[in-house]
Formats: sequence, structure tokens, C-alpha cells
Amino acid sequence: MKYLTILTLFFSCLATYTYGQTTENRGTLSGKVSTGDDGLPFASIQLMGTNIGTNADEQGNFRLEDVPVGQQTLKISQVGYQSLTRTVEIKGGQTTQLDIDLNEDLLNLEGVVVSGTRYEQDRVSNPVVVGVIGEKLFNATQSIAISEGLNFQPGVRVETNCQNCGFTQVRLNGLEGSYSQILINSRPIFSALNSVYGLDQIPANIVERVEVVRSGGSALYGSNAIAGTINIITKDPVENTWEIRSNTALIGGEAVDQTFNFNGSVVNESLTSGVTFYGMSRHRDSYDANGDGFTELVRLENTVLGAKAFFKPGEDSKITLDFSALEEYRRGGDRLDLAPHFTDITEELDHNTFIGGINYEQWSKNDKNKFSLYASTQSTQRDSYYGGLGGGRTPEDSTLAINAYGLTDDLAVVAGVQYNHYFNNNDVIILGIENQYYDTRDEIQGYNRLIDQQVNTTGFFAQYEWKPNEKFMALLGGRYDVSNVDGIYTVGGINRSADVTVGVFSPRATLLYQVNENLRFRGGYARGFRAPQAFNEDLHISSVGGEPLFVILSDDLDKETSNAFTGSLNYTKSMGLAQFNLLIEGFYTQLQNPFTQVSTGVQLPNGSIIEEVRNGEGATVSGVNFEAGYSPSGKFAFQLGGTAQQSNYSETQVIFEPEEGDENAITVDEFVRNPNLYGYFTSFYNVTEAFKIDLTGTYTGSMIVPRVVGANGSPDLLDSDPFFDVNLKASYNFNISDDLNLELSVGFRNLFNSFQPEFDSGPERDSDFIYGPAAPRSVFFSVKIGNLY
Amino acid sequence: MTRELFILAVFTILLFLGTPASAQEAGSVRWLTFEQLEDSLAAHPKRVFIDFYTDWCTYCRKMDKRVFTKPEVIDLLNEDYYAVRFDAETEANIVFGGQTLINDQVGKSRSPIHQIAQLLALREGQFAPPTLVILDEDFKVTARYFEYMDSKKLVSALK
Repeated sequence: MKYLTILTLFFSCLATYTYGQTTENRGTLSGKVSTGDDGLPFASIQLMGTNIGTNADEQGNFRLEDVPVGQQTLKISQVGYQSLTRTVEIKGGQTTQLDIDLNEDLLNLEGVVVSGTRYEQDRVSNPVVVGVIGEKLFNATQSIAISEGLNFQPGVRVETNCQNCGFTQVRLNGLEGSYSQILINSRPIFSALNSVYGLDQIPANIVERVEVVRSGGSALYGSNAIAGTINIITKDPVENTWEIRSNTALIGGEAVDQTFNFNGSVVNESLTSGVTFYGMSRHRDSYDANGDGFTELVRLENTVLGAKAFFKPGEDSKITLDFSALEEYRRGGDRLDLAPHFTDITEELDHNTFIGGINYEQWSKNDKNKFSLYASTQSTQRDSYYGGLGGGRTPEDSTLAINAYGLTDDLAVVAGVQYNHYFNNNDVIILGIENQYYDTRDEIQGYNRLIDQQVNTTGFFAQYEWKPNEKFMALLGGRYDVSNVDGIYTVGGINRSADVTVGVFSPRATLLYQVNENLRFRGGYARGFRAPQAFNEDLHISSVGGEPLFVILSDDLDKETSNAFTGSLNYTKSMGLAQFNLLIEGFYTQLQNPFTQVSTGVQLPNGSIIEEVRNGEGATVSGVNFEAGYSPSGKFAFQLGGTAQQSNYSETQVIFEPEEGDENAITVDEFVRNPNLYGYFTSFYNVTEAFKIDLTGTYTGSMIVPRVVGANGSPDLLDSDPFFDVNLKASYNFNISDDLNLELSVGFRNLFNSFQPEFDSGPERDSDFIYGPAAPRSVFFSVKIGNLY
Repeated sequence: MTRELFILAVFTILLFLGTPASAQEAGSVRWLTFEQLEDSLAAHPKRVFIDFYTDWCTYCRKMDKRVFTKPEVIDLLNEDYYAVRFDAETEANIVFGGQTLINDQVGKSRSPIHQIAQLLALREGQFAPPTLVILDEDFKVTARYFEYMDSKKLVSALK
């Protein structure tokens, strides 16, 4: 209670300051409500966004005291009359006079039943900037998997990390994939293992939208969301629909990428139960850019089947169930038709993943309280092969190659309860507890390599959504996480282990100030941390100089913490049919003890190369995200967005540390593989109702790329050239009947073939030396049949 | 294994969705235009039901396909009401009650709301379809609903 008073005082001071009043911070409002020439008795006068209100007397006179100074909005209503809202300026210590004339409600529009939950409406104002990548954009870019369409938000960049296996990760504000939390239907079941290949495995056609929040703004999501969250929301059914789609693409003029998709939904008439089904079957040939017989793009075979169902046992409760089964086979390297151990390099992975979740929501009768209970799980079995003869043909090479088969078991279980209370003045409080458990076991006996890690995190969170008036809104919250990591990490003769428990409090605060109808200011602060553990890259094995490259955690690895600040201005304006929006967002993130991979030059007796994860020097990531859009009418829209940033280590960071007397250490001042300038544009033109053209593209600025040249893993640092990757799509819709539509589309991805100009070649290449757009030019043709347009 | 399942699922769903909904031969709702409504009200006063929709509104389509096809809804609307279905974004001029009502937002807004809808179907200044309005014999509004209604709810609202 004391805090609330202080907060109120603080806000009053703010208001006083803003409006230049120095006397007192309270004023009086009085006046008369009338209709025509007569006073109107007993009308209600309510100060919007507060509990302050009164009723007029029999003559229609009213008086409100202790009204906070500044612009106040009043709502005046009386049964049988049309309600009115009025904005008045209240001056400190003075009485403001206001006379109101209410019109009789001739059509009787006000006094009747007003309800509404299931209707079409835009988003509501939110203090956190949420970027949305919708279904439309995945269509416009002809994205098959989610990874192909994510680049179209400021600050988001998907990079390919390996030519042998196609490992991709998504960077947010320049920070690596393991700094972001990927959520599926708001649940963090995307494990470290999933984030190696998972973005390629989730088909874009199951997605309703992807919500991107840069910098952890909300206390509701985990503390390791240092760079932000990417929330993949799958489709919710309303109508009975079906759709079948086929997409054929030819990549680089030779590799065929064939996909079949379907989705359908059935919902009963009362909207109390329904289900959406979806599926995808994809086959993509491998692609070799430089003709050396080794892949740049891996062969993919992917089958996905899933459903999302809901059931409402009563008016106030809802149960949602979802599941997906993903099966993916990928293989890269050379001679893909031979058994892996007869080749020079093979990375072959066969994933079987199951994702499932259940969610129960219960509302109280007065809709003021919401209680939800949820549990989600993800389980993956993976057969892997990371290895090969590596250019050699000795008996030792063969022995090593035949023993490079591995097995991975991965399990994630997330369960929690959450309680929301909605106050009369529109404030909301949210309280919750969530437990996350991740269990990963990745074993390759031939290398004596084992990662056996259990991470359990229990988080308590609270958040208060404070709306003192129409212009100001704040989210104040925090979470306390207790994280326990129990892991064994072995490669060759190196043994490391972790058994740590850390408890960290992470406060979060964001605020929104509506400067005027068109301009909004937002600001936020978030603290985050990561407990020492194996992340995505640590579960991936690269190949260098014909030898496997392993990543292992160093001893006494300490937790990593972060402080993130953001501030943004958002301007939106509609002038008749034209719409304009501009977002400028500054971000500043400090990392303390960041987990950093250092190449140690250590080679195991069998030749394997070791990189170690250590607590690196502190780092600062700062910059500006921008987004501007203009649309003169519904026929045409253009959007441009991007990021200009710096990512600097506070002191020179060693990335290659040779054994003594060997070679000089190699150091960097800024992050590698991260451009200082990158962005995108999207545009569409509806030539007619049925004929549509989409032009989209991404820009990737120059960046520092390490390329391993020494036999012990020592890298060269190169400056890459910028890339401009443009997609063009034309589609035509044939409306065959009311219930049948056929859409044909053709186009190009990466129209100008902006692709990495030179790759390493042969069995001894550095497989991580890949950057820039994911694929060369491809031409595609797609057919879509469905009952909806 | 999953691949076979996939193919099986495609065909099952196709079959499922391809089967026409159990045939209902109760006819259909006799929808009137506002001009027809005026004549009908003059000749024989009855209560009026107006369904304000737009072509992009998912819930409106759902009501058309699943609710306004139910025999009990059709019977009630045809017998006790004059039923009007009105595209809130229509650009047509409509003469009603001796006045010409137009869509004055055409060319000014992406979703131009016709004056008739502005008069009858706004809620706190906003139009959010589907909006269902019930009026008495004197054309005075008795109830407004700003949401999807299934046949059970609609029937109890109409009774």
C-alpha cells in the first residue's frame, strides 16, 4: 500500500511537471448536465481510468473534488441518453467549470444488451513493442520452413552455420541464438537441441503469426531471454476450412525442393470445440555450389503431422490440446549415396520429435479472475553421424569413421500455473509459478564423447499492469529463478562436469506514454541471466581439416548476467486511405561474463580439435532498430526495416589461444559473424483482386567471418561483402466456386543470386565457413487449392 | 512411418471435409434489403432483425454457413421478423425513411462504414462485426449483440 502511494505521488509529480503547474496537484471540477434547456437529474460522471466519479443531483449539478491536475477524460452517461466523453484541463487549486448537454437516445442504442468477446478487432496498445510476422509474409516470401521467413523484422537475422548439416540459428539484436527464447504457443519447450535444426523443421503453413519481442520486456518469460523472445503461434480454428498446397522449387538450377502441405479445420456451430490439422512432406536435394563434391546445402527429408484442438466445457473455461510429430532426415558432406563411414565427410541426422501440450483456462463468473494451468513436453530421439575419413585412408581413419555414429535423447517438460486478476480500473496483476526441466544425453562412443545434462529451473513471477490514466501504462514485474544444472561433458580424455545451483532475481519494467494520438513513447529495463550449461552450438559438431571439432564447457564456468535497456518512439498516422508508421528503437545490452567459445589449439590423440566455452570479457551490444511503412491504399504497401548496431567486447577477446610457443593468439574487439548493418523490405501490389505481386528482400552488411586455416584450428579473420537477397512472387487466384479457390504462383527467391562467392573445398574444408543468404537463386512454382481465399 | 501416416491423414481429412453437411431442407432465411424492409413495415409491422457483416469477417461467414442455416433460426426469422442482411462496407446509396443514406467514408477509410451501420451498429464509436440488432415494430432498438452467436443463443435472443 505504501508503495502504491509513492507510485501515485511519483506520477502526480510527473503530471505536474509535464503541464508546468507548480501550485498544487489537485483541482476541482463542477458543472451541470442538461438536455436541451432542462437540467438532467442523476447522470453519472466518471473520470476515465480511475475510480473517481459521482452522480449529478436532481437539477443536474455535480461537483468532483480532488481531481488530479492535467488533461482528464470524463464519461457522462444516463439511461436513455447517448453517452459522451469530454476531455478537460484541471488546474491545481482551481475549479474548472464544465456544462454538458446530453442528447436523447432516440434509437435506444445505449440501454440495450452489450456483450462482446468473439468479434474481429485490431490489437490493443501494449507497452512492449511486439513485432509480428504474419502468415501473409511467410506466403509473400514463399517460405516453407519458419527459418526462411524470420528475417523480416528489425533486429532479427537467421544465419546458416554449417555446410555439412545446415545448422541455422536466429540472432536477435546481434546476439547468438542461445540468447533468445523460442516459444511454441508461448511455452519454452524448444530445447537446446531443437534450436540446432528446429527452425527448419517447423513448417510455415502451421503458423498464424510469429511474435518477436526484442530485449526481454516481460517477466512472464524465462530469464535466459536476454536478447528477446520469438513466439511461434499456431493457427486457431474458427471456420471449417481446408487447403492443400504444393510447392516445387529449383535451387541453383539443379537441386529440386518439393513440398506438399495441407491444413484443415473443423469447428462446431457453438464454437465450443474445434480442431485444426496440418501436415507437410518435404524433399530437398543437396546442393553443391563450387563443384567439389561436398554439399553447401544439405539433403532434407521432412515430414510433419500435427493438430491443435480446443474444447470449452462451460462458458468460462477452455481446454486446449496440441501435438506435432516431426520426422526429419538430413545429410550433407560428400557421396551421399554411400554409407557415412565410407565417405570423407558426412553429417547425417535423423530426428524423431514429438511436441505436445495441454492448457486449461478458467474464468470467474464476473470475468475478473483467470486461472490457467499448463503442461507441455518435447521429446526427441536423434541418430547422428558426424565424421568420415576426412581425406585419409589409413586403418586408423577407418576405425574412427566407423565409430562416429551417435545417439541423442532429449526431453523438455514445462509446467506451470498462472493467475490473472483484472481490477475495476483496468489494472491487471499476474502471478505464476513455472517449472522447466530439460534432459539431454548425446553420446558418440567412437569419440568417447558424452553430454549428459539435466537442467531444472523453477521460476516465480509477478507482474503488475498499471494504467493510471489513458496516456500512461506500465508493466512492473520480476521473476525469481532457481536453476540447477547437473552435467557431465566428456570428449576423448577430457572430462568436465557441472553441478551448480543458482538463484537469481530478474526485475523487469516497461512503460508506455501516449504523447498524442499518433505518437507513443516506450521504455524498458530487463535483467537476465544464463546458468552455465551446454547450448545449441555445444551439441553440434563441425569439421575442420578433415577432423571433427568439439565444443566443451570449461571448468569453473560461472553464470552470465545481462542488463538490457530499450527506448522507442512509434509514430502512426492515417490520412484517409493512406497509412504511415515509423518506429525507432534504441537498445543497449550489457553482458557480464558472456559464454565465449575459445579455440585452444588442443588436439586429442585422434586428431579432434577442441574449442572451450569460457566466461569471456564483458561485452556491450547497442544500436538502433527502425521500421517505416507506407501504404497509400489497400492496393499497395511498402515496409522497410533494419538495424544499425555495434557489438563490442569491453576488452580484447581471445578466440584462438595456442599452446605455448606455438603461434600468436588471435583476438577480436567485436562479435564475429554479425554485421553492423542489416535489414529488409517488403512490398505488395494488388494489381486486381485476384492478381497480386510481392517483392521482398533482405540486406546483410559486411561482417567479420572467421575461416579456419591452421591444422590446429587457428582462424583467419575476413571481411565479407554485403548481400542483397531479393524475392519476387506473382500469384493469381481463380475463384472456381463459392467453396473452391485455386491459386497459382510463380517467382524467384534470391533473384539476383546474391550468395557467398567462395567456399572452402574438399575433405579438409572448414564447414562453418558459410555466411550470407541461405541459398542461391531458386525459381518456384506453387499450386494451392482450398475453400477460402 | 510418419510419411505413411501423413498420406493417410491427408485422405481422411479430405473425405471428412468433402462430405456435405447433413442436408437441411428447411429452405433459407428470406433476407430483405432496406428498401424492401420499408415497404414491408408500412404494409404489415413486424419486428426487425439486422445482421451487419463485412466480407472479411470470419465469424460472419461462420454465422452464414452454420447458424442462419439452422431450421429453428430460419423459422423464427421468417415468421416473427423481417430479416435484413447488410454489408456495413457497401458503397450503395440507400433510401430509407425518406432519406438517402450513403457511405460517406468511401475513399477516406480502409474499412468505410455505411451511414446505416454508423447509426445502428457502432459500439463506443467502433464497428466490430458481426453486429446483430433487434428492433421492435416501431423500429426502436431492443437489443444489440456484438459477437458471434450460435443458434441456441440467437434463438433465445429472438424469442
